[in-house]
Amino acid sequence: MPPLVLSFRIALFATLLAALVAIPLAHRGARRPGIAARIVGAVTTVPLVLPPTVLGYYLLTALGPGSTVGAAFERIFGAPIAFTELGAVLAAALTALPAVFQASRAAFDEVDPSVLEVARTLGVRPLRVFYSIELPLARAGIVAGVVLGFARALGDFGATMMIAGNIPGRTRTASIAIYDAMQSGDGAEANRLALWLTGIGFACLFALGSLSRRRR
Amino acid sequence: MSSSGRSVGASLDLHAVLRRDARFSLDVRLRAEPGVTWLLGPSGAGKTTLLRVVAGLERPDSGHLRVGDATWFGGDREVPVEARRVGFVPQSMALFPHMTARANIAFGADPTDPLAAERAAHRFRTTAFLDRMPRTLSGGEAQRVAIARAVARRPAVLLLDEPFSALDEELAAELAQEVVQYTEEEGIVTLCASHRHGVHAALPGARWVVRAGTLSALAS
Repeated sequence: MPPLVLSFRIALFATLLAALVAIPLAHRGARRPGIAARIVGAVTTVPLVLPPTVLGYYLLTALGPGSTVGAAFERIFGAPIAFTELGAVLAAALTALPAVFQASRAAFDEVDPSVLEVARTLGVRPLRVFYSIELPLARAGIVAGVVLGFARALGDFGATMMIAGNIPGRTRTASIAIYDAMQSGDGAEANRLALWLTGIGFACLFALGSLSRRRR
Repeated sequence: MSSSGRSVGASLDLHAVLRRDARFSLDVRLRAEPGVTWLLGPSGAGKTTLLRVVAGLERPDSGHLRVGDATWFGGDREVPVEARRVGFVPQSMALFPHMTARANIAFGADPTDPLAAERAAHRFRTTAFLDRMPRTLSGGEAQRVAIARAVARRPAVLLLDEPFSALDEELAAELAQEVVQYTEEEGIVTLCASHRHGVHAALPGARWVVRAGTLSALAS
């Protein structure tokens, strides 16, 4: 699979995974702030401040062939996590997590608490309040976080390289292919991929800007 | 009828003690018969807290709350907010900003009565602006939608927090009259916090003054 297409696919699954983890955690943190919420907030945001190689190192230690989880996974599913597309997805999800979590948390924090109180007095179940009131009201912030997370996941290099390696067609993403092309002196290929990644990143930020303008 | 369900003609018996901090505490005893009970008093005196206690949004440290034969709070019993048949209209109205007036009213409407939302919409004369979004409504229109949403639930107790504060004299008097009429027709208890005594001075109902977290009856 061409590196750009692979990058796109990995970033898509990674963003989905990050959203599935981050949105419920952000919601819970906003509704039940406290020490537990602060710890969760710090844990989900720490990938933002750690070097990507450290993230990759942790992933490799936790999920690599020598680890308990990695070995158990391979026994059950017949394939390892490390040096596969799944490993690349997990690495990219980890790098996308802070953006999705922080934006979602801020969006849920902004929902007027009196609106939620009224919904409760109307006898509506919490799950329906979440889907009908909280999620639509926080939607713009969540979408912003997901778009930023996607852009971040698309460009990951270090963490992906550590856990997934550089296997052509399977784990060689666009960022890694740029590094490869430069190493082998193929400046034209590096230039082409770099321009594509820049273009996609710009498009994401432009879309975000348009979204926030529409909100105002 | 469930223990927390609707009981027409039921009175409300409340004793609530709540100490929030050094500056604010509430110690009130209130017996309200079906009809409107007006809660008067300055801002910050505890009117909103009292309404929130009845709604179940604030938990008193001690006391009891009975509506008819049902105990909503007291002893070991505490009926959760969702299961109390209250219609609550906060001062901010808290309309769902992403829904039309129609969807707001229908959101918590009594599921056992398919016409509850429509009746509530008619009752509080919102039919002319049902398809508009809350941000496009005037203060009076928004207040009507908020009250219609609360009554579509067919509550046993209606709680209104300063519903006339943003309305001019004429609109406020008109709405106050409608609230009294609705309450009497339904035979329920309505607690209405309002500092605008002039708006409802001529209307029937018991009058209590909340001052510094305590309650005293006002001679009519």
